[in-house]
Amino acid sequence: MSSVLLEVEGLSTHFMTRNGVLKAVNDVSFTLNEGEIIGLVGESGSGKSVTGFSILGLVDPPGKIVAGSVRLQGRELVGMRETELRHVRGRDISMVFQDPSTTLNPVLSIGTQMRLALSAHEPSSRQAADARCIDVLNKVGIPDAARRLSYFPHQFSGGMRQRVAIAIALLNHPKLIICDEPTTALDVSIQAQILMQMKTLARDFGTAMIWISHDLSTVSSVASQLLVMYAGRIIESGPARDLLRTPYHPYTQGLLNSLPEHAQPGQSLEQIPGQMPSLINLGLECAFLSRCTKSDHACQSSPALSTNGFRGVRCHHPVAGDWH
Amino acid sequence: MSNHQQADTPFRLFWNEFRSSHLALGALVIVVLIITLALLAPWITPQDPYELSKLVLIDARRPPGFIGSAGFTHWLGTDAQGRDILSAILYGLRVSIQISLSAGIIAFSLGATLGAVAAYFGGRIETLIMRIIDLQLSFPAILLALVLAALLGQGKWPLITALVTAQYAYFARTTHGAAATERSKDYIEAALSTPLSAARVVFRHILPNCLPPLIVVATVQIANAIALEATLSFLGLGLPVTEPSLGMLIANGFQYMLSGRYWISIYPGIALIILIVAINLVGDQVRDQLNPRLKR
Amino acid sequence: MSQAQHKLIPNPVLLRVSEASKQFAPSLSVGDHIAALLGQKVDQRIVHAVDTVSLDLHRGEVLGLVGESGCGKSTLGRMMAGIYPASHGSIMLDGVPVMGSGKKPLKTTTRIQMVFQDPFASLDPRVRVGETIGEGPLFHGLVDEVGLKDYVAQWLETVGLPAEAAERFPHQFSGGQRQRVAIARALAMQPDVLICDEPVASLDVSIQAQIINLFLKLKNELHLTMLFISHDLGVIRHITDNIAVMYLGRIVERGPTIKVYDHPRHPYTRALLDSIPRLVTDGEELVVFKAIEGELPSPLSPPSGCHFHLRCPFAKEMCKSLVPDAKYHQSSDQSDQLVACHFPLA
Repeated sequence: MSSVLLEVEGLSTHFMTRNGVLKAVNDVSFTLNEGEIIGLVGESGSGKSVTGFSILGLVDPPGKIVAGSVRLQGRELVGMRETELRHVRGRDISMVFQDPSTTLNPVLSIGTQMRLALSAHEPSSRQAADARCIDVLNKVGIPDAARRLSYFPHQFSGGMRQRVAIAIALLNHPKLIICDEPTTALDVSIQAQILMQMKTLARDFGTAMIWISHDLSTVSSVASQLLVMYAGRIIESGPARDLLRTPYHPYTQGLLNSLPEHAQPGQSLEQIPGQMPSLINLGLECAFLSRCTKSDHACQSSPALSTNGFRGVRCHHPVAGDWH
Repeated sequence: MSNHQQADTPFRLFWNEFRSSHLALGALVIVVLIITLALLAPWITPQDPYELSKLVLIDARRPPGFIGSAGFTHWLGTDAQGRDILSAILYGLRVSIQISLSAGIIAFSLGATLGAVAAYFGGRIETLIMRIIDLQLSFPAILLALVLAALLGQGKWPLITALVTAQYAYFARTTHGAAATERSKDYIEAALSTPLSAARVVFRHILPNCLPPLIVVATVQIANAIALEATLSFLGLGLPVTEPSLGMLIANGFQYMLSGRYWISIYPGIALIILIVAINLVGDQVRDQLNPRLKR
Repeated sequence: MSQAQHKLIPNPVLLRVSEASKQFAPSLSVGDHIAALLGQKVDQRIVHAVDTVSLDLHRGEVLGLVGESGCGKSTLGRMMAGIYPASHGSIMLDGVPVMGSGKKPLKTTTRIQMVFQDPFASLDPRVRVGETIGEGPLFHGLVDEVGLKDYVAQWLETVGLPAEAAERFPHQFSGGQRQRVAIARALAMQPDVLICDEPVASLDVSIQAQIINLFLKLKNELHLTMLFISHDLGVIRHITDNIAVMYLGRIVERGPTIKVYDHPRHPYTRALLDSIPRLVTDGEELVVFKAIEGELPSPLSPPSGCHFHLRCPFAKEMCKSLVPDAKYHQSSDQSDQLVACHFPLA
């Protein structure tokens, strides 16, 4: 039984814009154990990326964490001073971003970038640093690593660049890696390779992961637990297999039903009408109300997240009848 | 339908943001105020400084506050010919603004069209146009303007020609950069694949989207034009002595600085500075606003 | 149109691509020209985007073009839409070339229109959408000033947007709505062929279904001929009648969609289908997929012989040197499936 690594409780991040307060993340809570991979699934505007950034304290003004706590093995990260947070970032918690061509510095060789990442946390000799870098590059599947240390990012293909980004994230043996849509910008066949690699690495290094994505299929191939987000809240949670085979929230169900794989070719797809509401003037009603076909007057008040220890759902009328 | 209830046109969005900066808004008010006063000069000034017959020599070189023979107060004093400095400043501003704006508009149109055409057609046309522009930009604007003004003689149109020649290249260069970026964007490809004519694509689609950096350049260039014109007049080129612009006023008053009659140069100078600084502040705000807009 | 009907009633060919190729070569600078004159060898980096592609698009057909990025499908789509001229070969609409001749050829027809991938980028942000939609038809005389407003309103309605939308700017719409506007713009030109380049790739998952349904409606009600380019095999399977698979500039397999999905003949098609993570509703594994080995080669220096031989688990000696021709598969019920492989899968 692995121990608890990260506890997020009641996290809320708001952006003070000219048009009003944009409530990007509202009251998000979850727990992550050591070595566990959870998937944070949602569409654009659901708050999944901002949740990831909030954990690392990477939210810039006008955004601000307005409530809640994020505890890494007991240490509170919200409100931590920037100088201390810098020790956490890259060492205890790393992040892999979506587009490797913008996350790697184009004018520095990857060797230099990796050495910089290492020396930021732990000074070591050039040989030791290089040896560590080559080791990690091998593990992420970059052939001929010793020679490629002096290569520049533009000399790698997209998939290779993302592997380099992952390697940098792994360098300091972090306990947790937050991956924000890491395979979205990549080709389908490369994506498959990276997915397999990440899964193996997590297992070998014992690293926990938060995998943020909008693609249910991709996430489910790596994550054991899923959290579905909508309009800044977690609306459904549970083990991946269970959640996808028996969704309880109308949104999750609608999402699954609208995938072309689940329909007959040539037939109209089941579509979720409308679009996600503006996060600026969120009312008191359930955020999904405007698009839900199963709502009634009870939905005028936003439901709480109810759990049975195994699954969680935020809905007054969960779709599968056996919810209790 | 969307989250934007109030502003719909891009301009209204821009204006709302502009208003929120008090400094820029204040600067804009000053600019508008100065321009209005200057344009209304013939009707609001107590004296027409260009009417030589009205000038009274006895009233020359009097300090601010002096009540002249015509019966009104010279709030800012008089110059060597007996002109009321305040009237002269307003008339001078009028001339300066007329000339700079005319030159600015012509330089803008000429430069923007050249830059957009160069970017649209590419190849040899682009190379030819941009090399001429580069050549021109390697000459200091003042040198260019000086030579032209000296060659073409005095008067408004020679001055405007000199200013346009000195400035159109900046507009062309900026437009070329922006147009080249827009040219490769999807919406231009979509317009071309309809297909639409080159003229329509350039003038209806490419140029309007190049406006943001162009407006920034325009504000800076108008301020430069005012300064440039003042410099030329200061050096004796440009406008005739009988129609003094601000630059000439400053020049004429220079000799009196040491003898204590500071007002003849200082007040025109201050007026010039205020106008140029205000225009630059407006331009700064416009530039800042248009930059982060790229991430919408 | 069911698969059986497709075989019995062959519709006339509307758009024919014959051995078309496209190379992109950056133009040499003045310095390079001088160097070449002096006898220096100048390295011209030529991208072989499309390599000898032949394709027929029949009236009323919805053809899917799939492949990974760099395979040339977008380039081919733009060639068929009259945006890029072919370096070699020809593209004809009803026997007439789609693009004129000369150094800077112009598109000769309005009967082919395109829908682009990114709805944020494909609409002019400074023009109201009504004008964007009506611009082309007005310019080409499909409608006059008087009837313009109603004309635009009609197309807005077809794509599911209200008439008032015409007065708004693109930034006031969501991604899905913008894509509808882009579709309306293409339709307003009353094209015979619609080329759609990854039209749902940039949209949120829950909006994709809406736009896919819109395309289905256009297919069924307007009987539009469409070329649907996508890397999303699920979407392709749902919409298209036939499918062509591209790899590094060449078509490797072509045939009726269902048949190709169920029985892929080219090793690449099989590998591609297998590499997509798919949610399965039964069995132990929640998601099944199998990654293809190796990296996509660069179009700057494509491999010799069959482009896929470096990654193909079934490659043999001849695959390295001999480019496979596209051949119809021999077995009885697969006679409309074209494969370019020396050793097609059984």
